[in-house]
This record gives sequence, C-alpha cells and structure tokens, in this order.
Amino acid sequence: MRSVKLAIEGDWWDSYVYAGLLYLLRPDGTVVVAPWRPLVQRLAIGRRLDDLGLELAFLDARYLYGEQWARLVSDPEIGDVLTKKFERLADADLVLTQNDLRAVNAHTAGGLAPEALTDLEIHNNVVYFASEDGLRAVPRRRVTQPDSATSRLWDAEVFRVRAQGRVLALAAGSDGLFERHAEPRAAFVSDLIKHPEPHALVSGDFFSCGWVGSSIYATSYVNAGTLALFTEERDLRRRRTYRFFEDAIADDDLFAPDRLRDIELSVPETLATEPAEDQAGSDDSLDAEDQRVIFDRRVSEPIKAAEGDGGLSWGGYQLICQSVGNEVRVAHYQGRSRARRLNERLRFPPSLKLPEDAGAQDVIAGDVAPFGVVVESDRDLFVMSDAGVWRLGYEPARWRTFARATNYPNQLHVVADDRLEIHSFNTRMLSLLRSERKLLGRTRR
Amino acid sequence: MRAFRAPAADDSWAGLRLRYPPPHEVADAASPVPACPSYTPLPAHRNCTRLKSQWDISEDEETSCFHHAWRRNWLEDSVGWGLHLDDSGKPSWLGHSFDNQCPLWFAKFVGVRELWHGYPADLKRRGRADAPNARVAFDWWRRGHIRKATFSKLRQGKKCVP
Repeated sequence: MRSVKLAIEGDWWDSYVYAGLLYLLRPDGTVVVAPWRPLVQRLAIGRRLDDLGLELAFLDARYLYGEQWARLVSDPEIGDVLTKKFERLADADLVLTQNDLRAVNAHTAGGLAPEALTDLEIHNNVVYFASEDGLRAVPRRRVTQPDSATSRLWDAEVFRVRAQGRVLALAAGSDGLFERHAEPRAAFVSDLIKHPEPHALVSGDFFSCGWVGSSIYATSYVNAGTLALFTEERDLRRRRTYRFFEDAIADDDLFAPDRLRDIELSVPETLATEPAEDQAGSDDSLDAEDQRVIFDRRVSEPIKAAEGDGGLSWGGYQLICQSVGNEVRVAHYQGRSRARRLNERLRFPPSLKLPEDAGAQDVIAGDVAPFGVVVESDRDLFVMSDAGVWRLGYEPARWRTFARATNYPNQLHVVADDRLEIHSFNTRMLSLLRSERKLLGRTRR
Repeated sequence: MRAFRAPAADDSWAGLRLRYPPPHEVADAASPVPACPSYTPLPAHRNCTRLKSQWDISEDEETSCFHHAWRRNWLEDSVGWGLHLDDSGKPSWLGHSFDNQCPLWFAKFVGVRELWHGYPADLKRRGRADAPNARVAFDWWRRGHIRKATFSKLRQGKKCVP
C-alpha cells in the first residue's frame, strides 16, 4: 500500500483543505490561505507529471467514492491504468516551498487563530478554532479580510470539534462530551448567530470524538471510550431530522454482543413505517443541507462514563475501533437499522492487524477515514485497510483526515517538524464500509 | 531525539502580539522576583501508596525541579509543572505510574496556602487534570526542552513521550 506524497515546506502547526482552498496554520496562530488548485499545478511546472493523476490524487477524489464513477473505475483495465499513474506519481518528489505559496498569492492573516490551537474544523463556511480559551468561530470569507476577529462561542477548553449536519460534537477534556448547534451558512448572514450553551451528553475525560452515523463516539485514556447513542427520526414532509439521545455505551460493552442484548432501542416511526430508501439516501450522515437537526432535550443530566479497562477505542464513519495488543477490533454500526436491540445493529468484521515489525506500540489515538483505519502509536502512524498496512515511519506532530469531504476524502495531512505532508490514498473504500448493493460513498456526484 | 529547530526566516514572529511570548521576554532568574515558595515532598508519592504516581528521583532533585519551575515561571496561582532536565536540556524520566506500567517525564505541582507539593504527572491515568496549560507547554517548546510533536500532543490531550 503506497501513498502519493506532496510536501509543503514550513513550520506548520495544522492544515485544512476546504472548498478549493488550503488553510495552513502556524504555531503562533497565523493563518495562510492558498488556492489549492494553482498550488498543486505548480508541481508540474518544468517537469513531466501526470496531470490526471495529480488531479485525482489531490484535487478531486470523487472518482473513488462517487456512485456515478463506480462502474467506470471498477473495470480492471481502467483500474490498472489508474494504478500505474499513481505509482509513477508516488515515485516523484513532490515538494512545494514558500516561494510557491507566494507565487499563488497566498494570503496571510496574522493573529486570527489562537496560538497552539488544539483543533480546527471548517463546516458550512464557518471556521471553528478550538483551544484552551474555548471554542471560537469566524465566517470563512472573513479569514482573508483585514482586521477580522473571531467570536467566542464557548469558554471551556475544547480538544476536538467535529461537525456533521447542523451539530458540533465537542470533546472537552475532563468536562466531558458535549454537542452544540453548528452555525448556519455564514456566507449569507452578516454575523454568527449565538446559540445556547453546549449540551452535556457524557461526563468523563475525553480528548477526542468522532461521528458514527448520527451518534458520537468519545475517546478517553481515563475512562471507557463511550458511544453517545442517538437514533434519528426523519420528518420527510417537513424536511427535518430529529435526533434522540438513547444511551451511553462503553467500549467494552460494544465489543461484547452478549451484553448488548439487554439494550433495547426505540425505532422511530418514520423509519419503521416507510422504507424511504431512495429518499433518505444511502449513507448514515445528516449532511444534507435541507435537513434541520433538532436535539432531543429530554436528557437533562449527562450520563456518567464507565471505568475503562480495555484498550483505547475510537469511532468514525460508521466504524468503532478498539486497539488490543497488535490488533484493532472493529465494529460496524448500522445506525439506520430497524433492529430493536443494539447487538443486532452491530456487525463484527475480522480484526485488523498491525505489522509484526511494528513492535509493541502503545496506541495513543485513531480515526476512521474512507481509505482506512488510522492508528497513531507513540512513535509512528499507520493506515490499515484491505490493501494492507501503510506506515509513516516517523512520529508526526499532528495529522488529520477528511472523511466528510466530497473532493478530498482520500487525503491524510501530516504535520512534521519542518513541513506538511499531504498523503493521498487512491485505493477503493474499505470493504467494511461497502454495503451489499452499493458503496456507502459520501457523494452521489 | 531530534534537535530543536528554530523557526525559519520565512516564519517570522516579528510584529505579532503573542500571548505566549518567546522565552527572552519571559521573566527569568535575573529579574527581580519574590522569594521561592515553600516546597515539601509528600511521602505518598514515594512509598507505593495505591493510585499515587511515584518519584524515581531523589527528594533533593524533586525540590530542585520545583525551584527550577518557579524560576522559569511555570507555576500558576495554585498549580504548576516542572521538568527534570539532563545536561543537554532535555527532560529525563522522573517517576512512574502507580501500577509501574509507565515511566513519567514531567511533574505537576500543587500549592495550597503557599505550601507546595508535587508528583509525577500521568496523562494516561489522570488525563487532562495533570496536563500543563498552553502557556507552560509553549515555553517548554520554545526553549527547546520538548519537540514539536510532544508539544502538539500535549495540546491535543494525547499521551506523549519527551
């Protein structure tokens, strides 16, 4: 398993690619915004590089997961041609310098983001900065305007913010797991609308979180990793989605189907009475812009997380993973299932295995991307998929995937000491994530 | 361990109002400062008390670690963090977790009515309660005591080694 690697030299702290722009953050909070396509095209200046390969690897990965492309790229001959293109690109030395950033007129906004921020999320044209100072946001179009300032949305220290639909999931360290309404499409409003304070879901010590369908998985070293389990009810006539908080399930329970038999879930009427398969789409996300997500306010007190005694666990993209020794156990959560019992909504594919020569690695974090399960150990980073195990080979300062992205779901951004590395994985989606009838792709374009 | 790399010329910090200024702007030993507060090592962190992380360095070294943290301005009103540095300025292991499973490399200090004590910080078992705040972690990085990867992981709430 190989990746196509593009490096951007500089002392970066974080990065994000969104809507044709690359956002590069420095440790002091300076944000550099560069047009992504012209920047990638500079790689081909004065040398022979495969234009189509570059396009597919870094600018538009819809061919991998888009349903309209599936018939074409599943053809073995076409697949071979594409594979050769990526092999050639993987052999090339793709490096961009500060001069390249200047050449594409990258904009620098000083002092906009907090210093040494903990996380960054861009959703619905709003940029969210998580830091020790809390959660701040700024409309995306204002990032490049002079004298822009962020609005403080919450005071608590936030370690991870992940958006989906109209909801932000917030891992707030020892304060617990929270969720909050996301800001509306700020490109069309003058100011960010202030919503109520975030809503506590689970009390515990969580440093990370991810979306598993419409539920949120929170990751912890101190207590058990916990699935804040939601069911959703769609009112197709009013084009609204209601989410109901059902329970908080510890990771050790999730991987013990016997214990799950006792957990009974509600089956929303709209799902129970009408198939609505074609209307509801093929994935579990709430990303459709025409849906309004409304919290269930019946839960007034957060549920206390259970004590943890198993390996580190994490969730994302319909998978829940737990590291046990040199293996990663996987549970596939089918949020749209009509099964009443939780064990009937989970499938357990075979475990993924770290390579033998990885040694006794202490797993410290993980994520799930369409191209594979990402595992961070204390000295390395791995991507595990059907195509094998990929290894970074050094300790990253920071990394991020783009599971929600339409054009960039194949990218893994890795911040090193003196550069940003963007790795593009051009393999088919994890077989764990393929439905029986069609791909669970993010897009139907 | 990689050597600390100063920011490149292109990554100029000049002109930016930094919340966590570079080290030369932080009060150092040469500045007029009040007397160092009183520090007392606690036996519970040396006698294998259950759920208490344990020091591997001597009581004198523990106290020096606190004094160094105080001189470097790594203490807040009632909480602080310190490093046990080797000759090259890198953190050395200073203790281990209560279950003896994990070596630990920085200390957390707690002050109650001007009386301070400390213990080896354990991110895995105590989570964010033991982690240094952004100002202190930033200073550790800018002084070259910890690597960028370590600094970043501390900020993200991840376990890390120096």
